Amino acid sequence: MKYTYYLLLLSLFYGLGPASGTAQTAERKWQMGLGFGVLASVNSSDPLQVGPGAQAGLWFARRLHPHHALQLSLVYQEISGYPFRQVTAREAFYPNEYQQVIESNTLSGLSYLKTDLSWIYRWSKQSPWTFGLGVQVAYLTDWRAGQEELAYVINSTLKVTETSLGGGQTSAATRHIGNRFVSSDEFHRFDLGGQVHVTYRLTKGLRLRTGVCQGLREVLVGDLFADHQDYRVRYLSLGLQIRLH
Amino acid sequence: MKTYLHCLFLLLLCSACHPTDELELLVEQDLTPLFVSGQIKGPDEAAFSDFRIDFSTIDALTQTSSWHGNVSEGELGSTYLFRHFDTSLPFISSDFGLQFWSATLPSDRDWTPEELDAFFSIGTQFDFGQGPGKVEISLHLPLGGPYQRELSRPSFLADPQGSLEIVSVSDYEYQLLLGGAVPRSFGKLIQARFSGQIGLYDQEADYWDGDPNFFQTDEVVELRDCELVFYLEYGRD
Repeated sequence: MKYTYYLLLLSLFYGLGPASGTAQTAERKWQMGLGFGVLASVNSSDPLQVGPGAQAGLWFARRLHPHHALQLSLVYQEISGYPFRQVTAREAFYPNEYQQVIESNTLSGLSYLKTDLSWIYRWSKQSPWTFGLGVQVAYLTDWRAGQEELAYVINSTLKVTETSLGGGQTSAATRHIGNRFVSSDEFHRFDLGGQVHVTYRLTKGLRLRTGVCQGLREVLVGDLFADHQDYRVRYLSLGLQIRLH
Repeated sequence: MKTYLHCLFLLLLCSACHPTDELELLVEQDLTPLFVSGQIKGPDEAAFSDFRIDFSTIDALTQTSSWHGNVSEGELGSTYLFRHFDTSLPFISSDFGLQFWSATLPSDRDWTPEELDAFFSIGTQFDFGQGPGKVEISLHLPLGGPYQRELSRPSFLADPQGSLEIVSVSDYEYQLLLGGAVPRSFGKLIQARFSGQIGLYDQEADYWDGDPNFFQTDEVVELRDCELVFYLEYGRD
């Protein structure tokens, strides 16, 4: 999160430069710039649980009317702090072996490359506020997830005869069965979604932007997290939008 | 307005930095379907009562049960002896057993899958008692305790009545986690039905300390409409 602060400070100073240079920039039909922000992902099952994230990207806007514009963005975002941790305890009672296998699955973060197209509305030329409504396509580029298995096992190889028990042993041990990286098969790589956002002009060429985004597709495919099969990306965002041109 | 937005920004940032952890715990069980059930009537009881012993229901970490079967040389020749061990029981670990004899199969090696298929083929019937063609069923009585030191058996009776019939045979295998180089045990689940009599063991009357060759009783425990599923290991690979 330290880096997010630095980026915000940098973008603040940089954003004040070229954008405040000329009064004509506001009249341009084409505009482009950078955007940075922080995210707070919201758990589907518990809205009070949030996870941090950050995003950065480019945006291009085309003014269609004094009050309307279209904006296209290309954004890379990391959503961390997923509260998904599932421990499965599996007991097996076999004829010669008792097994207690602890399987721990964790998901800590997702990274998306997304593009969104938004319609921007401004009440008046003098108003610092804009309202936007957009659709987006996101591609999952990376995920931080893991799976670990530990087993407690009691195994018996005793030989029984009419008069004795012998020729084998009963042993108990804890075994580390292994770790594995979670494959892409566990996730839907593409996501469609919608967003609503509001910007407030702080100064010329620099806007504060906040919004809500909701993915439409389930993130998980497999049963890695059985209770989160219907989880969809949802987050609040807050950041700066800097106009460079 | 700017102050308000600044506060909102900080609030969002702070909340984002402290995600709450959530732990999902799921428990699954895989039980081997080994059991014996039926109706039982002790020598002093007026009516039959239902009973069932599951051979894989103990869930304490240090108390587990296991099912063993081995070929060995017995008093009456080559024998296949099965025992279920329940480590939660006091002073005796086996609560159920089966024993078969063969006049033709060897005792110095495991019987082959083909030999076992023929020996436990569907429809084969074993009379209660000891020796080739017979079956000795051992049961820890009284059920639920207080337990006797030894298991009760048909051969404690002078002329035990009853028989066991093989009803079905199905493949069964499981993965071993402590098997080392032999991670799989494979074999058959044998389903059998039996009814008959066993002699009730009485440790106070046992001068010979449980030796089945010497202990005799006329106290009969009746078993009726019993069903048994046991595991016959063919090998490990």
